[in-house]
Amino acid sequence: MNCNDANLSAYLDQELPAPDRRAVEAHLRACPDCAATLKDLERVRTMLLTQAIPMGLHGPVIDRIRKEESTPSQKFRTYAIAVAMIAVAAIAGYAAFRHFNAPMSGPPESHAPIVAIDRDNSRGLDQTVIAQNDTTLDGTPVAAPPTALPETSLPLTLTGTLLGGDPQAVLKNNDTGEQHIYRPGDSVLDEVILQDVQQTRIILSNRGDLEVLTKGPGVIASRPRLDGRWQLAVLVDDKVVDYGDTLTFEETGGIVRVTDSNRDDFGEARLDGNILVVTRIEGGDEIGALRGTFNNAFTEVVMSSPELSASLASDMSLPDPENHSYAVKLSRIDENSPNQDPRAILQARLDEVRAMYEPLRDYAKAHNGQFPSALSLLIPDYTASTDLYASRDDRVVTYVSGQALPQTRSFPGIPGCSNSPDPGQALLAHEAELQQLWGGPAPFVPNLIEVAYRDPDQIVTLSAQGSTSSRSMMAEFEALATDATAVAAQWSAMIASDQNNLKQLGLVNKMFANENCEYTMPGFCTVYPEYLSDTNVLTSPWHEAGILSYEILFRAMTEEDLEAMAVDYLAAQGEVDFNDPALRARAQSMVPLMYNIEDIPAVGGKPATRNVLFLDGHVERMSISDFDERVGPFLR
Amino acid sequence: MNMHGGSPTSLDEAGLIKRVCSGDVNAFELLCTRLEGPLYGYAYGMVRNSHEAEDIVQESLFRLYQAMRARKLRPGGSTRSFLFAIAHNLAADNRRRARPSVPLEDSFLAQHNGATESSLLREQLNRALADLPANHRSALMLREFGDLQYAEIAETLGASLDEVKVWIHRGRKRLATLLDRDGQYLGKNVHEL
Repeated sequence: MNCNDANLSAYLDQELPAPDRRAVEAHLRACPDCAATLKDLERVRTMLLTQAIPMGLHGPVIDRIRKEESTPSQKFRTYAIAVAMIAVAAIAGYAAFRHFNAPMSGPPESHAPIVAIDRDNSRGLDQTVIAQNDTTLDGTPVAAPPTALPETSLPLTLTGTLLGGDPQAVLKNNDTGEQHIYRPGDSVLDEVILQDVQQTRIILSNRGDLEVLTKGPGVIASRPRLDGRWQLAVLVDDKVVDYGDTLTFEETGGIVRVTDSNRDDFGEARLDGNILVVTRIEGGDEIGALRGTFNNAFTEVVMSSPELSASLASDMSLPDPENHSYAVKLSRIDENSPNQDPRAILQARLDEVRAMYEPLRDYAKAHNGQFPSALSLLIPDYTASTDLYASRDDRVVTYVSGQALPQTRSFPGIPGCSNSPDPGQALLAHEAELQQLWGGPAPFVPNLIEVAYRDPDQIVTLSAQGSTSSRSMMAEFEALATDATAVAAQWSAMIASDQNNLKQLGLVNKMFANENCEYTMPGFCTVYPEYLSDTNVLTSPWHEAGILSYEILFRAMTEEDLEAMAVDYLAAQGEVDFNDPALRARAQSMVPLMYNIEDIPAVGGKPATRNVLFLDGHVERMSISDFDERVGPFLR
Repeated sequence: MNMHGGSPTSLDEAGLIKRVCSGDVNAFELLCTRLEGPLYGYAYGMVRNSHEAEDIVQESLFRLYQAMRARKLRPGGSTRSFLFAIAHNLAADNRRRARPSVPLEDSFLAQHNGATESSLLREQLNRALADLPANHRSALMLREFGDLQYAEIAETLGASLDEVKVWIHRGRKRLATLLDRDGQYLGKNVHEL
């Protein structure tokens, strides 16, 4: 890429396709001139975006529309309603509008700053006035925010603030009329230093004394755009117990579209002053009205609702939902320090460990499939130094010597389903042969390298076949045993991970069935490695690596047979309606396919449970009595 | 917490548009609250006069409503780019009626000095915007205030995607040379270094 390229602006606007974006990023690292230009472009954008945006301009438009749409026959009715409404509107017009704006149920917010036009002030440029309303909608006074600091008497006017990563305040010197932009730490006047920038005021240190300068009416109120990535976290009693997805915000005129890490629709929120009002969560109807107040820098917002608490308590199996406060927190991810994001940390670690494989594999290929007996043998032909494998302050690397590249035999598939006399038998025979080869019911590839990371504690393993996986340290879990909330959070994370394993195995089975005459998989060896590439999913988080945690119930049977079996079972219970168009789906959703061989142990007052994968791919956690009731009949 | 599956409520932009098309004025009012801010920012950037910008906002919103009621919106087309296209045309008409735009606002501001403390920064920006070629200014304003994608801007301005890309870049770059770090206008004769 050459300099002066229009790509810089397109880059800033996120309008470049990925290859061009990477090219620009590479160029920016190498070219200080372009990096400086980019900074300039960003500065211009910031200046434009700090402009006042008036609200309420549409009022006359709506009046005009209503007037034009009133036909004579409607006029009387409209008039009657209007008379009734004017009285109400005079008192509660704004409340009604706000209610319409916030259609989800929930208590009315009381601390929302009201944005209104100061129409009488002037027809000038700066019409946005942000004022903290001092009463709630029903007229009860609201405690004023604590302002222990005195208002300054310095000849300064605060004309604008910009919050975010680089907070700035625009100050005018009343004596000279000069106006400049300042950042915290800047000297504003002799012995007057700007200490802090908040949304509607700044803190100054005047010869060592702290003073406040509040924005006057009729000035620009601004805030940073919310665009970017946000980390979702679950709080119990103000402590983070779990991290959720990384969400992406895209803000358009106060409306924030939220997408998840797959860039799928997650929901929508609206910004009301410094209050984030969630107007929609995809599939989150049970969560109720969610709203939260941003911190001054607009980098963090905490939200809670009774419905959310109930939902979190049941989904995460947290104890005593009544005695704890639940909330979700969204924190802006600082793109310059991606280490804030637990997913980014894990990804970086997995990448780091994955990079260890290539020299080892190359060595094994040159030595009859045998991995080296010591890592130092890799030098100098396969790697220049073993730094790649070194233990450091934050990690301990363990290499397991004496292993060989795994032998695999690929599954030939059923030769012409209709021609084979008994495909089911052929599949089972093939599986039996492979189990002999592997020496067990699962094609476990031994781990070559185990890396124990600190902070956050994780173990990342590299298998002899090159796949990496991670799990949290069991020891850490046990050490938590005194903290009931932390144990419960960890436990629910492990349940989720176990369910995820079963879901993946369900997909493996679906793919296998699609390509093999609709037969279920005959065992775990047959599907490796074509359908099941990562054998770590065969082990639940409660088990040590290399232990098979799941049992398959119906091996090498057609879906049709299984559905028929379920329908027979329903018929025997007298519960079947053969005309029900959903009968097939119902049958599929009740046939268990795989489950935990062992009970998931009881912990923190929760009873022992098992996870079960059903033929239709859904996974359920059930108590042992439910398991006996729902899976038991199929076991018999 | 379950965050997937289920149906969205009807108050997203598409839901609102549907309601407006069937004559729901309240829905249109809500839609207006979402659109008027960016629209004003755009209109102001184009005409650099708050009276005219307000008029453009109101006229554009009214025409949008009429078009929605008459179901004249192209199916699949973006409401936002339709609205900004109206505003763009109104602003262009305004320009054709040719009025010296900067001095008017300046004199107005001078009379209201006390009430418009932040006007200095605005005025500086105002002068700088006046120095941009019309295409560059339009494209940049549509991007920053309209939050339109480049493709939508191209459609609004009847230009090619490459042109839009270049206009936005040149517009931003010119502003960067016209305004110093503190937002002070450095004068028309500044040239790129």
